[in-house]
Amino acid sequence: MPRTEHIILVGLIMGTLARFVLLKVDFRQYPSYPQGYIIHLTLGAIAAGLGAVILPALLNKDYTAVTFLTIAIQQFREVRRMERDSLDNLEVNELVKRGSAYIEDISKKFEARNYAALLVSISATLAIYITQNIFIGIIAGIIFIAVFSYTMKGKKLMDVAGIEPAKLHFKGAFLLVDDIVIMNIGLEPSRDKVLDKGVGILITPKDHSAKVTLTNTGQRQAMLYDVVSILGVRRDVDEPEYTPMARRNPDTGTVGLFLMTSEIDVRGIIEVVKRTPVLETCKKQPIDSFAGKRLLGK
Amino acid sequence: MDITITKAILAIITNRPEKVGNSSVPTFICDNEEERDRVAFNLSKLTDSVIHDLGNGVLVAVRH
Repeated sequence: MPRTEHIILVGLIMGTLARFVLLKVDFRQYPSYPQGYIIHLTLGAIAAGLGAVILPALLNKDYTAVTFLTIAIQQFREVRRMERDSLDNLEVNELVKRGSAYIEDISKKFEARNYAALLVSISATLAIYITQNIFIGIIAGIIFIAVFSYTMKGKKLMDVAGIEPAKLHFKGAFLLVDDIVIMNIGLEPSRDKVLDKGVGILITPKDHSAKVTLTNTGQRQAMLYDVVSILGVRRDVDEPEYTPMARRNPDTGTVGLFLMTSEIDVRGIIEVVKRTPVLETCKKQPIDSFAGKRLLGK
Repeated sequence: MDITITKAILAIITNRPEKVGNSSVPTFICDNEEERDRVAFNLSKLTDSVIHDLGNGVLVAVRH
Protein backbone atom coordinates (compact mmCIF):
# COMPACT_ATOMS: atom_id res chain seq x y z
CA MET A 1 0.00 0.00 0.00
CA PRO A 2 1.50 3.37 -1.03
CA ARG A 3 1.96 5.94 1.72
CA THR A 4 -0.99 8.30 2.32
CA GLU A 5 1.15 11.39 1.58
CA HIS A 6 2.00 9.98 -1.83
CA ILE A 7 -1.65 9.23 -2.58
CA ILE A 8 -2.66 12.79 -1.64
CA LEU A 9 0.20 14.17 -3.72
CA VAL A 10 -0.87 12.19 -6.81
CA GLY A 11 -4.49 13.35 -6.36
CA LEU A 12 -3.37 16.96 -5.97
CA ILE A 13 -1.14 16.85 -9.04
CA MET A 14 -3.72 15.12 -11.25
CA GLY A 15 -6.47 17.57 -10.18
CA THR A 16 -4.25 20.58 -10.82
CA LEU A 17 -3.24 19.09 -14.16
CA ALA A 18 -6.95 18.75 -15.02
CA ARG A 19 -7.48 22.45 -14.31
CA PHE A 20 -4.42 23.27 -16.40
CA VAL A 21 -5.65 21.24 -19.36
CA LEU A 22 -9.08 22.88 -19.11
CA LEU A 23 -7.49 26.34 -19.02
CA LYS A 24 -8.33 27.25 -22.58
CA VAL A 25 -5.94 29.58 -24.30
CA ASP A 26 -8.54 31.40 -26.33
CA PHE A 27 -8.70 35.13 -26.53
CA ARG A 28 -12.46 35.17 -27.04
CA GLN A 29 -12.74 34.05 -23.47
CA TYR A 30 -11.19 35.40 -20.36
CA PRO A 31 -8.60 34.62 -19.01
CA SER A 32 -5.93 35.46 -21.54
CA TYR A 33 -3.45 37.10 -19.20
CA PRO A 34 -0.83 35.81 -16.74
CA GLN A 35 -2.88 37.06 -13.77
CA GLY A 36 -5.91 35.09 -14.94
CA TYR A 37 -3.82 31.92 -15.30
CA ILE A 38 -2.38 32.30 -11.80
CA ILE A 39 -5.81 32.89 -10.24
CA HIS A 40 -7.43 29.89 -11.91
CA LEU A 41 -4.50 27.50 -11.48
CA THR A 42 -4.32 28.35 -7.78
CA LEU A 43 -8.06 27.89 -7.30
CA GLY A 44 -7.85 24.65 -9.30
CA ALA A 45 -4.98 23.42 -7.10
CA ILE A 46 -7.03 24.16 -3.96
CA ALA A 47 -10.00 22.26 -5.45
CA ALA A 48 -7.68 19.35 -6.29
CA GLY A 49 -6.28 19.45 -2.76
CA LEU A 50 -9.75 19.16 -1.26
CA GLY A 51 -10.50 16.22 -3.53
CA ALA A 52 -7.20 14.50 -2.76
CA VAL A 53 -7.62 14.51 1.03
CA ILE A 54 -11.27 13.42 1.13
CA LEU A 55 -10.68 9.65 0.70
CA PRO A 56 -7.67 9.33 3.04
CA ALA A 57 -9.64 11.27 5.68
CA LEU A 58 -12.75 9.07 5.31
CA LEU A 59 -10.69 5.86 5.49
CA ASN A 60 -9.13 7.24 8.64
CA LYS A 61 -12.71 7.27 10.05
CA ASP A 62 -12.63 11.06 10.03
CA TYR A 63 -16.21 11.36 8.74
CA THR A 64 -16.48 15.08 9.36
CA ALA A 65 -14.17 15.37 6.33
CA VAL A 66 -17.32 15.30 4.22
CA THR A 67 -17.87 18.89 5.30
CA PHE A 68 -14.78 19.67 3.21
CA LEU A 69 -16.94 19.18 0.19
CA THR A 70 -19.37 21.88 1.28
CA ILE A 71 -16.41 24.23 1.60
CA ALA A 72 -15.38 23.22 -1.91
CA ILE A 73 -18.84 23.91 -3.31
CA GLN A 74 -18.89 27.28 -1.57
CA GLN A 75 -15.53 28.08 -3.10
CA PHE A 76 -16.62 27.07 -6.60
CA ARG A 77 -19.72 29.20 -6.36
CA GLU A 78 -17.41 32.03 -5.36
CA VAL A 79 -15.37 31.39 -8.53
CA ARG A 80 -18.52 31.72 -10.60
CA ARG A 81 -19.52 34.93 -8.86
CA MET A 82 -16.01 36.33 -9.25
CA GLU A 83 -16.05 35.62 -13.00
CA ARG A 84 -19.50 37.07 -13.44
CA ASP A 85 -18.64 40.24 -11.52
CA SER A 86 -15.37 40.78 -13.31
CA LEU A 87 -16.90 40.28 -16.79
CA ASP A 88 -19.86 42.49 -15.85
CA ASN A 89 -17.46 45.24 -14.85
CA LEU A 90 -15.54 44.96 -18.11
CA GLU A 91 -18.78 45.12 -20.11
CA VAL A 92 -19.09 48.89 -19.63
CA ASN A 93 -16.06 49.54 -21.82
CA GLU A 94 -16.96 47.14 -24.62
CA LEU A 95 -18.23 48.70 -27.86
CA VAL A 96 -19.94 45.40 -28.64
CA LYS A 97 -21.13 43.74 -25.46
CA ARG A 98 -20.78 40.09 -24.51
CA GLY A 99 -24.28 40.12 -23.11
CA SER A 100 -25.40 38.59 -19.83
CA ALA A 101 -26.11 35.16 -21.39
CA TYR A 102 -22.51 34.81 -22.59
CA ILE A 103 -21.15 36.04 -19.26
CA GLU A 104 -23.30 33.53 -17.39
CA ASP A 105 -22.14 30.77 -19.71
CA ILE A 106 -18.46 31.62 -19.23
CA SER A 107 -18.75 31.86 -15.45
CA LYS A 108 -20.62 28.55 -15.33
CA LYS A 109 -17.80 26.94 -17.31
CA PHE A 110 -15.24 28.25 -14.84
CA GLU A 111 -17.22 26.80 -11.95
CA ALA A 112 -17.60 23.45 -13.73
CA ARG A 113 -13.84 23.26 -14.44
CA ASN A 114 -13.17 23.41 -10.72
CA TYR A 115 -15.61 20.54 -10.14
CA ALA A 116 -13.69 18.64 -12.81
CA ALA A 117 -10.41 19.25 -10.95
CA LEU A 118 -12.04 17.99 -7.73
CA LEU A 119 -13.51 14.88 -9.36
CA VAL A 120 -10.25 14.00 -11.15
CA SER A 121 -8.30 14.13 -7.89
CA ILE A 122 -10.95 12.03 -6.10
CA SER A 123 -10.95 9.42 -8.88
CA ALA A 124 -7.13 9.28 -8.97
CA THR A 125 -6.94 8.66 -5.21
CA LEU A 126 -9.81 6.15 -5.40
CA ALA A 127 -8.00 4.21 -8.14
CA ILE A 128 -4.87 4.05 -5.98
CA TYR A 129 -6.84 2.76 -2.98
CA ILE A 130 -8.54 0.09 -5.08
CA THR A 131 -5.48 -1.15 -6.96
CA GLN A 132 -2.77 -0.26 -4.40
CA ASN A 133 -0.77 1.12 -7.30
CA ILE A 134 0.24 4.75 -7.80
CA PHE A 135 0.71 4.37 -11.56
CA ILE A 136 -2.84 3.11 -12.03
CA GLY A 137 -3.97 6.22 -10.14
CA ILE A 138 -2.05 8.44 -12.54
CA ILE A 139 -3.53 6.62 -15.55
CA ALA A 140 -7.04 6.88 -14.09
CA GLY A 141 -6.46 10.63 -13.60
CA ILE A 142 -5.35 11.05 -17.22
CA ILE A 143 -8.38 9.11 -18.49
CA PHE A 144 -10.74 11.30 -16.44
CA ILE A 145 -9.01 14.47 -17.67
CA ALA A 146 -9.53 13.29 -21.26
CA VAL A 147 -13.18 12.44 -20.57
CA PHE A 148 -13.86 15.81 -18.95
CA SER A 149 -12.11 17.86 -21.62
CA TYR A 150 -14.09 15.99 -24.30
CA THR A 151 -17.51 16.16 -22.63
CA MET A 152 -17.18 19.78 -21.51
CA LYS A 153 -16.52 21.05 -25.03
CA GLY A 154 -20.18 21.69 -25.82
CA LYS A 155 -21.78 22.35 -29.17
CA LYS A 156 -20.70 24.89 -31.75
CA LEU A 157 -23.09 26.94 -33.84
CA MET A 158 -22.18 25.00 -37.00
CA ASP A 159 -23.62 21.85 -35.37
CA VAL A 160 -27.09 23.39 -35.21
CA ALA A 161 -27.21 25.87 -38.10
CA GLY A 162 -25.97 26.57 -41.61
CA ILE A 163 -23.90 29.73 -42.03
CA GLU A 164 -23.42 31.49 -45.36
CA PRO A 165 -22.63 34.95 -46.75
CA ALA A 166 -25.67 37.04 -47.76
CA LYS A 167 -26.37 40.13 -49.80
CA LEU A 168 -26.36 43.44 -47.94
CA HIS A 169 -28.63 46.00 -49.61
CA PHE A 170 -30.94 48.94 -48.99
CA LYS A 171 -34.65 49.28 -49.61
CA GLY A 172 -35.22 52.99 -49.14
CA ALA A 173 -33.58 53.79 -45.84
CA PHE A 174 -33.87 50.23 -44.56
CA LEU A 175 -30.79 48.05 -44.46
CA LEU A 176 -31.51 44.42 -45.31
CA VAL A 177 -29.50 41.22 -45.09
CA ASP A 178 -31.11 39.07 -47.77
CA ASP A 179 -34.79 39.77 -46.87
CA ILE A 180 -34.31 40.49 -43.16
CA VAL A 181 -34.66 44.11 -42.10
CA ILE A 182 -31.74 45.14 -39.87
CA MET A 183 -32.28 48.87 -39.27
CA ASN A 184 -33.13 52.25 -40.73
CA ILE A 185 -30.18 54.46 -41.66
CA GLY A 186 -31.16 58.02 -42.56
CA LEU A 187 -27.98 59.53 -43.95
CA GLU A 188 -26.71 58.82 -47.47
CA PRO A 189 -22.95 58.84 -46.59
CA SER A 190 -23.59 56.34 -43.77
CA ARG A 191 -25.50 54.06 -46.19
CA ASP A 192 -22.65 54.21 -48.70
CA LYS A 193 -20.16 53.31 -45.99
CA VAL A 194 -22.32 50.42 -44.80
CA LEU A 195 -22.53 49.01 -48.34
CA ASP A 196 -18.80 49.52 -48.85
CA LYS A 197 -17.48 48.07 -45.58
CA GLY A 198 -20.35 45.99 -44.22
CA VAL A 199 -20.76 42.22 -44.38
CA GLY A 200 -24.02 40.27 -44.29
CA ILE A 201 -24.26 36.72 -42.95
CA LEU A 202 -27.28 34.43 -42.97
CA ILE A 203 -27.76 31.77 -40.30
CA THR A 204 -30.28 29.06 -41.13
CA PRO A 205 -31.30 26.78 -38.24
CA LYS A 206 -31.09 23.06 -39.02
CA ASP A 207 -34.09 22.01 -36.94
CA HIS A 208 -36.86 23.30 -34.68
CA SER A 209 -34.65 23.23 -31.57
CA ALA A 210 -32.01 25.35 -33.30
CA LYS A 211 -34.71 27.76 -34.39
CA VAL A 212 -35.86 28.21 -30.79
CA THR A 213 -32.24 28.60 -29.60
CA LEU A 214 -31.63 31.35 -32.17
CA THR A 215 -34.60 33.38 -30.91
CA ASN A 216 -32.56 34.10 -27.81
CA THR A 217 -30.92 37.50 -28.15
CA GLY A 218 -28.10 36.40 -25.84
CA GLN A 219 -27.05 33.71 -28.33
CA ARG A 220 -27.07 36.24 -31.16
CA GLN A 221 -25.07 38.74 -29.12
CA ALA A 222 -22.48 36.00 -28.44
CA MET A 223 -21.91 35.55 -32.20
CA LEU A 224 -21.46 39.28 -32.71
CA TYR A 225 -19.09 39.50 -29.76
CA ASP A 226 -16.96 36.60 -30.99
CA VAL A 227 -16.63 38.05 -34.49
CA VAL A 228 -15.78 41.51 -33.20
CA SER A 229 -13.28 40.25 -30.64
CA ILE A 230 -11.34 38.48 -33.37
CA LEU A 231 -11.75 40.72 -36.43
CA GLY A 232 -12.17 44.03 -34.58
CA VAL A 233 -15.01 46.52 -34.69
CA ARG A 234 -15.04 49.41 -37.15
CA ARG A 235 -17.26 51.83 -35.25
CA ASP A 236 -16.21 54.27 -32.59
CA VAL A 237 -18.26 55.56 -29.66
CA ASP A 238 -19.97 58.26 -31.74
CA GLU A 239 -20.97 55.97 -34.63
CA PRO A 240 -23.81 53.86 -33.26
CA GLU A 241 -25.17 53.20 -36.78
CA TYR A 242 -22.20 50.91 -37.50
CA THR A 243 -22.94 48.66 -34.51
CA PRO A 244 -23.07 44.99 -35.55
CA MET A 245 -26.60 43.63 -35.33
CA ALA A 246 -28.50 40.37 -35.57
CA ARG A 247 -32.15 40.28 -36.56
CA ARG A 248 -34.47 37.35 -37.17
CA ASN A 249 -37.00 36.60 -39.84
CA PRO A 250 -39.99 35.59 -37.69
CA ASP A 251 -41.52 33.49 -40.49
CA THR A 252 -38.55 31.24 -41.21
CA GLY A 253 -36.41 31.58 -38.07
CA THR A 254 -33.42 32.58 -40.18
CA VAL A 255 -31.10 35.10 -38.53
CA GLY A 256 -29.35 37.84 -40.48
CA LEU A 257 -26.11 39.31 -39.15
CA PHE A 258 -24.86 42.73 -40.15
CA LEU A 259 -21.20 43.30 -39.30
CA MET A 260 -18.70 46.07 -39.86
CA THR A 261 -15.33 44.76 -38.79
CA SER A 262 -11.86 46.33 -39.00
CA GLU A 263 -10.68 43.46 -41.16
CA ILE A 264 -13.16 42.75 -43.94
CA ASP A 265 -12.78 39.02 -44.39
CA VAL A 266 -16.07 37.25 -45.12
CA ARG A 267 -14.57 33.76 -44.87
CA GLY A 268 -12.90 34.66 -41.58
CA ILE A 269 -16.18 35.99 -40.18
CA ILE A 270 -18.00 32.82 -41.22
CA GLU A 271 -15.35 30.65 -39.56
CA VAL A 272 -15.73 32.61 -36.31
CA VAL A 273 -19.54 32.43 -36.37
CA LYS A 274 -19.36 28.68 -37.03
CA ARG A 275 -17.21 28.22 -33.93
CA THR A 276 -19.35 30.34 -31.62
CA PRO A 277 -20.42 28.15 -28.71
CA VAL A 278 -24.11 27.32 -28.39
CA LEU A 279 -24.65 28.87 -24.98
CA GLU A 280 -25.87 26.52 -22.30
CA THR A 281 -28.04 29.30 -20.95
CA CYS A 282 -29.73 29.81 -24.35
CA LYS A 283 -29.81 26.25 -25.66
CA LYS A 284 -33.33 24.90 -25.99
CA GLN A 285 -34.31 21.33 -26.85
CA PRO A 286 -38.08 21.49 -27.42
CA ILE A 287 -38.11 18.55 -29.88
CA ASP A 288 -36.86 16.25 -27.12
CA SER A 289 -39.92 17.00 -24.99
CA PHE A 290 -43.22 15.11 -25.15
CA ALA A 291 -45.12 18.15 -26.41
CA GLY A 292 -42.38 18.94 -28.91
CA LYS A 293 -42.50 15.43 -30.38
CA ARG A 294 -46.29 15.63 -30.67
CA LEU A 295 -45.96 19.02 -32.33
CA LEU A 296 -43.62 17.73 -35.00
CA GLY A 297 -45.63 14.51 -35.47
CA LYS A 298 -42.86 12.15 -34.31
CA MET B 1 -23.40 55.95 -12.38
CA ASP B 2 -24.31 57.09 -15.88
CA ILE B 3 -27.94 57.80 -16.62
CA THR B 4 -28.78 58.28 -20.30
CA ILE B 5 -31.96 58.54 -22.29
CA THR B 6 -32.28 55.71 -24.80
CA LYS B 7 -34.92 54.60 -27.27
CA ALA B 8 -36.22 58.14 -27.50
CA ILE B 9 -36.34 60.67 -30.30
CA LEU B 10 -33.80 63.35 -29.35
CA ALA B 11 -34.38 65.67 -32.31
CA ILE B 12 -36.37 66.06 -35.51
CA ILE B 13 -34.64 67.46 -38.59
CA THR B 14 -36.74 68.35 -41.63
CA ASN B 15 -37.08 70.58 -44.64
CA ARG B 16 -40.85 70.00 -44.67
CA PRO B 17 -42.09 71.59 -41.42
CA GLU B 18 -45.74 70.89 -42.32
CA LYS B 19 -45.05 67.18 -41.78
CA VAL B 20 -44.17 67.73 -38.13
CA GLY B 21 -46.93 68.64 -35.73
CA ASN B 22 -46.54 70.45 -32.45
CA SER B 23 -43.89 68.35 -30.83
CA SER B 24 -42.09 68.48 -27.55
CA VAL B 25 -38.91 67.31 -29.28
CA PRO B 26 -36.39 69.91 -30.52
CA THR B 27 -37.17 70.38 -34.21
CA PHE B 28 -34.64 71.77 -36.67
CA ILE B 29 -36.18 73.22 -39.80
CA CYS B 30 -33.86 73.40 -42.78
CA ASP B 31 -34.13 75.04 -46.19
CA ASN B 32 -33.22 72.05 -48.31
CA GLU B 33 -32.21 68.38 -48.17
CA GLU B 34 -28.51 69.16 -48.26
CA GLU B 35 -28.76 71.37 -45.19
CA ARG B 36 -31.04 68.83 -43.49
CA ASP B 37 -28.52 66.03 -43.96
CA ARG B 38 -25.65 68.19 -42.76
CA VAL B 39 -27.54 69.28 -39.61
CA ALA B 40 -28.60 65.69 -39.00
CA PHE B 41 -25.02 64.44 -39.31
CA ASN B 42 -23.78 67.09 -36.86
CA LEU B 43 -26.55 66.27 -34.39
CA SER B 44 -25.83 62.56 -34.58
CA LYS B 45 -22.18 63.19 -33.73
CA LEU B 46 -23.08 65.55 -30.88
CA THR B 47 -25.65 63.29 -29.27
CA ASP B 48 -24.18 59.83 -30.17
CA SER B 49 -27.46 59.01 -31.85
CA VAL B 50 -28.52 57.30 -35.07
CA ILE B 51 -30.33 59.25 -37.79
CA HIS B 52 -33.41 57.47 -39.13
CA ASP B 53 -35.33 58.45 -42.26
CA LEU B 54 -39.12 58.43 -41.96
CA GLY B 55 -39.41 58.54 -45.75
CA ASN B 56 -41.34 61.81 -45.98
CA GLY B 57 -38.49 64.29 -45.71
CA VAL B 58 -38.35 64.00 -41.94
CA LEU B 59 -35.24 62.67 -40.19
CA VAL B 60 -35.18 61.76 -36.51
CA ALA B 61 -32.19 61.34 -34.21
CA VAL B 62 -32.64 58.39 -31.86
CA ARG B 63 -30.25 57.19 -29.21
CA HIS B 64 -30.30 53.41 -28.87
